[in-house]
Amino acid sequence: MKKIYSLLVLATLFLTSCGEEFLDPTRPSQEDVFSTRDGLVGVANGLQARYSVGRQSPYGYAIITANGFTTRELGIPQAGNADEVALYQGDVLPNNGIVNNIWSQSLINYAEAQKVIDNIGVVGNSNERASILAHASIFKAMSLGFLIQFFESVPLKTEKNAVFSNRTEVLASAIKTLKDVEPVLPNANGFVGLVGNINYRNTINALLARYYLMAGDQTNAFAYATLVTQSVRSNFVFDAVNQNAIAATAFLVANNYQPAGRSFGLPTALQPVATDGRINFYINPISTPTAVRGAGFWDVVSKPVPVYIPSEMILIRAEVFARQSNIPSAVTELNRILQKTAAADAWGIGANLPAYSGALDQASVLTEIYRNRCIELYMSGLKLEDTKRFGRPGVNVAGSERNRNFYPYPESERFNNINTPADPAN
Amino acid sequence: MKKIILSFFLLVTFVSFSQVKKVTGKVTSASSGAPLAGVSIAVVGSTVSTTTDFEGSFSIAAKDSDTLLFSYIGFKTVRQKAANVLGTISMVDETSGLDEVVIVGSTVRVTKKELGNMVTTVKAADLVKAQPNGISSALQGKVAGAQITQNSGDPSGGFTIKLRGTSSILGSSDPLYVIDGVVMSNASTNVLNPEIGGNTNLRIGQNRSGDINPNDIESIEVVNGGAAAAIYGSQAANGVIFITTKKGKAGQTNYTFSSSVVSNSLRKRLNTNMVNKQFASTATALFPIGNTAVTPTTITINRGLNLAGVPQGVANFDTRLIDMQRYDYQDDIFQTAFGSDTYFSLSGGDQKTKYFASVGYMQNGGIVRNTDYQRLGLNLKVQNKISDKLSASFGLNYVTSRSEDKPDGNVFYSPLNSVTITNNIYNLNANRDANGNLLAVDPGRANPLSVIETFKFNQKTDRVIADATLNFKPIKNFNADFIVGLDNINQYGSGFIPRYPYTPVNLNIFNDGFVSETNYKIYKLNNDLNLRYVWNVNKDFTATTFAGYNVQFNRGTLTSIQGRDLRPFIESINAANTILGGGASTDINKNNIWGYYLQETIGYKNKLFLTGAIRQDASTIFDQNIRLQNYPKISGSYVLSSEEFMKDSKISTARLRFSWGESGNQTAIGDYSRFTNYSTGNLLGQTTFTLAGNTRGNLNIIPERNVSTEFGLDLGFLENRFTLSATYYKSDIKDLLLRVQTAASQGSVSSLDNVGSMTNEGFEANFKAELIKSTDFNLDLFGTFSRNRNRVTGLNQPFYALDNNPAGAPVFVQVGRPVGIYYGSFYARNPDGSFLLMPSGLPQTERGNATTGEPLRNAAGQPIGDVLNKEIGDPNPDFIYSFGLNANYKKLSMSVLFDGVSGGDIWDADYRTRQGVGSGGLVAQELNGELPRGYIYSIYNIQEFRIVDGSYMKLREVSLNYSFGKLNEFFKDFSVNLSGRNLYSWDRFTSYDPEVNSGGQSAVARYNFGTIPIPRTYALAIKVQF
Repeated sequence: MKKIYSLLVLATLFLTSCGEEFLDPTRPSQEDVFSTRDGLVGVANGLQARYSVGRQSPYGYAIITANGFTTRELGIPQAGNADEVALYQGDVLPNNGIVNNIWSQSLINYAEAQKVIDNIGVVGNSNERASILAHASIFKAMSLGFLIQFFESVPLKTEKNAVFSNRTEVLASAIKTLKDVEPVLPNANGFVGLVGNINYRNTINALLARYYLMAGDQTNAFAYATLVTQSVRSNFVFDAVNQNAIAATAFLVANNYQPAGRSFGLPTALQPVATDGRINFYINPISTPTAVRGAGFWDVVSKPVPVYIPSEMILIRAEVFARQSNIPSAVTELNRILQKTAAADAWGIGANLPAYSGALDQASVLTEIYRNRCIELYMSGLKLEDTKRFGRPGVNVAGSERNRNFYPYPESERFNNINTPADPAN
Repeated sequence: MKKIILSFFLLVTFVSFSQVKKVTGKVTSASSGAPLAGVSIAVVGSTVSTTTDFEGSFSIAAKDSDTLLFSYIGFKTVRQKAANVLGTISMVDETSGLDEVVIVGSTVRVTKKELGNMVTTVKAADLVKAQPNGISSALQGKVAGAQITQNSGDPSGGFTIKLRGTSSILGSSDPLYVIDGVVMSNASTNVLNPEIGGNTNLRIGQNRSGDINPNDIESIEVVNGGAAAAIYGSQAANGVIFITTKKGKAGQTNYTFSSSVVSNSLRKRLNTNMVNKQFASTATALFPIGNTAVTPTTITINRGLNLAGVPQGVANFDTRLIDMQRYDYQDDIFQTAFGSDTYFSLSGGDQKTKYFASVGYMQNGGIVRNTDYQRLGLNLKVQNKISDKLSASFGLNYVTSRSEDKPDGNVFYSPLNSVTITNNIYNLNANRDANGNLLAVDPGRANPLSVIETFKFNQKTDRVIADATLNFKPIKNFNADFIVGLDNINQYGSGFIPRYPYTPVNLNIFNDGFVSETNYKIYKLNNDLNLRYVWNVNKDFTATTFAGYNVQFNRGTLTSIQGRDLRPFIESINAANTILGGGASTDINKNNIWGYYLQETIGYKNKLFLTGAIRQDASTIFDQNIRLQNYPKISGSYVLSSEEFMKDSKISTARLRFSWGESGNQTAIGDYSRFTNYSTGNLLGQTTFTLAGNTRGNLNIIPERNVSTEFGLDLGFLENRFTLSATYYKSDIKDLLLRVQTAASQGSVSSLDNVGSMTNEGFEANFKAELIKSTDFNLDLFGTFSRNRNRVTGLNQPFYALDNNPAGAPVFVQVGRPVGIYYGSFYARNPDGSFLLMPSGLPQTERGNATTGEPLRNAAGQPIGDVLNKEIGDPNPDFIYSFGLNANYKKLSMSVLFDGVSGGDIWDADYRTRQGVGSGGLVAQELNGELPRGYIYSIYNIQEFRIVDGSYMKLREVSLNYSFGKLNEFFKDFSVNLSGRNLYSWDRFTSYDPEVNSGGQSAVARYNFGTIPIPRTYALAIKVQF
């Protein structure tokens, strides 16, 4: 028996020396990425990838698709795509995958962007620090800015059982995020290593103009819209690997969806006139009434998609003038849109039409501005907000231009956050 | 070396100076009286040995005072003084005997009567009766408590063996496989279709137990419960399968040659719409469900009313019929395929050195055209007695396999799904362009013949399983086994889809071509030490102590690269202009597992046994501070039939047993899952880091723990001619690891945590009856019955969807329900169960308040509101069973085996798709007017439509064997065997085969989505022994 025990003791010694710790050699840990400059740059690039690449991404697919079905921009989806069909029919349930992607991916990006901002100190170079801060802040603000267009309220703190904040608070937070970058904005010119093609100064000003307008602060909306240089493009980038998801899974395939057609899904009175140059920009000219093919920013898998369309700023200026009852100035801005040629536009969007000749009352001019937003900013994800801001016919009303006001909160949130508010009626 | 030389001299001396005579006789089976061939006979204390020939006769040189030892697998060993050997030696069958020795750990063997647990042994002869293609098919229907499913009818298709139900949600419910002490990989690694990926719902491809040639196996022991927990603590929760390969036997060298030819064919053809009509439609594709513009001949229908009473899903359908020639594509993709299996082995040796060597080559054609599988295996086993105290055993098994495949079912460019998704109005074969290229079918789809003729998907595996065992017996009643086991696998898969010669083809089925190359290397090394000491305390009590350790090193590297947009001529990854994901990706797995154990069995008068054991286990998968886990176990066994009062009873065997034990499962998480990691990527040349899997790590996770209790009874009547074994068990799985959904407001969508719990409760039984027993004619009946009730008892939320799967099966877990239920929309029904029809006469989905789940009706009694969801199906069977017979008349023997599953729903995605595209049986009815126009559209989105009953009973095996016996001095035996496998299935399934699972080896998901059905197989085999 002695032998047995001595062998056992030996075995025990051998075993207790096995206290190895293996780390994943193929992926960095959270500690790695947020404690180094290279890690932070990678996460900043990752924010853009998450926000724009793939069918689950908010702006690469989910926001534009959901908004497009809810506001009738898009045609009948093929029957097999249950989530798309549900959105088209306005039958949106809390388990809708597209709505869940808008919610989840935006909130993760919001949290990740916040981590970048919190750890910005690890970057030594002031130009790099400013660029990463601007980049992360744009994604943080944009996550909030779009969420609040589709949901009645949004949690602002990343934590267990986070409390939801209302629209005013959320917009204020988005605006503050962007304003916080202003002091270092002159240094934010990008650098090799950070994904390019976003002009930080113009993008931040454009988003500020958009969110001030949504928040009802017309003075600031106008001021920031004016600061945006019309000729500068800021866009999400795609290539054969990181594909433009709407191109790859909708417009270029036969089994998902296409635009509603040359009507842009608008009621007869608002439809673009046949000579509107923007029709052939967004709708492939080969389309027939029964077989529509989409174009715009989504007919090549490597085609860039704008972060914002600069002419949105002209339309914001027009809207501010109109709401301030400065009708002549509003019409002047409106004509900048109507008479713009493709060559004069940063993205080649040109109505190339005669000047506005309609009634000069505030309501008519606002309607014309709404109509031009629907055409000029087609499939930019902003239309649900627009139909509400312009008081267009709502859900279950004759001639309604949207089938939902807000989306229900996804099940994933409701089941795991006791503070999830009740779902909106529609 | 000195010792060896010394013993050699001793041996020579012994042999040369003994007074020996020739002892002859014949060995027969006590039960049947038939002669036993291959019984080994040894002179105790010498190296002299022999084996019986085919007639059971033997001749051996021995002194009168010598003791002869007769041993034969499956029979009780006989010791007889040479002087007393007169004529016939009768050996008693021990298949139902409690003295049978079974394996419960690498080299740990105990007699059955000591065990508190159910252990099933399947012997070589029962494994290979009907030409199985692997060990899993060889076991089907033969083990109570085991649900053995062939998940794909591909010749190299994977299998699932589930013992006593599903025991993990994220992890595997696969038992642990141990072959001759080597912890063997049974991984299902998808190297063929990396573009499909995998998750808990989707574990497609081959699994590695298929590498083992059933011909090489001596016996398989299936330990359903926790008997092996002491030896394999943290890995034993799903049970253990011990495979023992054939070893050399002392005596004349025995050669075996066998060869068979096999034919595989489609067992069942689908009911295809062959009505040569179609509804007029703007598009030929999806005409049964596609909306068209309003015309005078269209009807407008909807899918029910929302809360405001507004019709939902309004669509227009043309009612005019146009002529359309239809085709049955099944003829284009299926074939009758042939195969062969050739095996040669030699076995022999003396008392000192024994050897066994074999070579096996199998080639098998698939029923899908241009698919096949080849496997070549070489196996060598050498045992040497170094000294009286020390012996060694070495084993080496090399297997190489090649398969020509097609894409797995889960994509629309697989053979079956390319058919399913296409309207059957194209003459695939006849329609070609001037260059002989195939033409387009429905827009965006792949022509099924493109898949058959031009796609190239291949897989190669090279594998070595090696073991070295040292056995040391320094003193009486003590022995030590030291084992080193190695399993090394190299798996390579490649895929090639050329550019399609037609347009339009969808991007997601690779219109511009696709290539992939994937490599997976597995390295597993285990080292065990098992010590055993038997202490005969007094004449009543014995104490058996086991102690030892087990260390495992597991390494894996999976590298995959995929590309599209192909350059011409080339079929390797070099062809790709675009590399998917921006580059190659590698996963590196690395973990060590180690543990030690102590087990004590107290035996009283050889009829009462009590065992207690404790194992301490650790694994690098878990955080250092919490990785050491304890797994206790106790069990007892009481052999009633050894009591005086049962001496004269008709009950020849009676035993009661119980066991309680804890074991673990650590397959639910990856080696680094406890950390929060970031995925690397590339966005236009720049590095990206994104939160991997949108999930947060958790350093506090521990292994899942299975606490199981079982009670059992073994009975034998009339000299054990009728035996019955029954077991009741209950397993509580605690600390179930779940991918806990988190609110996105926490910054991730999921995390891992030990928050779940689950139970499996069930009953399993087997019986065997030797109905007729005579010299010429024997008839045995046997059967198994198992019933398992799985219930999820704890989750972090009331219910949620498990991973996604390509078929869209809504696989859920819900507290109080079995794992993997389907949760979805369902038909609105009247109180009597019939469909609540819309005014249009069409069925509709149930509607109501989605929050409360309460159905709502308008004044007209029609459902209104949101679409409601509920549990619509349960994939877990009510019970499984098997029964059969073995009969032999003189040299002719026959066996029949039926194997069945009762209950268990299947999500049949293909059934619905066929109705949507136009080739399905319901379409024919809608065209004929037997169903109203729009019927398919009306039910198309109701998920209950896709739930079908998965019950089946299969005629699993039939075999007819004629043994010519000893032909001449050279041939010891010659036999001819005609067999069939999976010949018939009694089922109500809506597609091909209710047994296959498109989720592959997934433990939780069950659905049908383009998976190849299991073929009907006939085989003709000859076997020669010389």
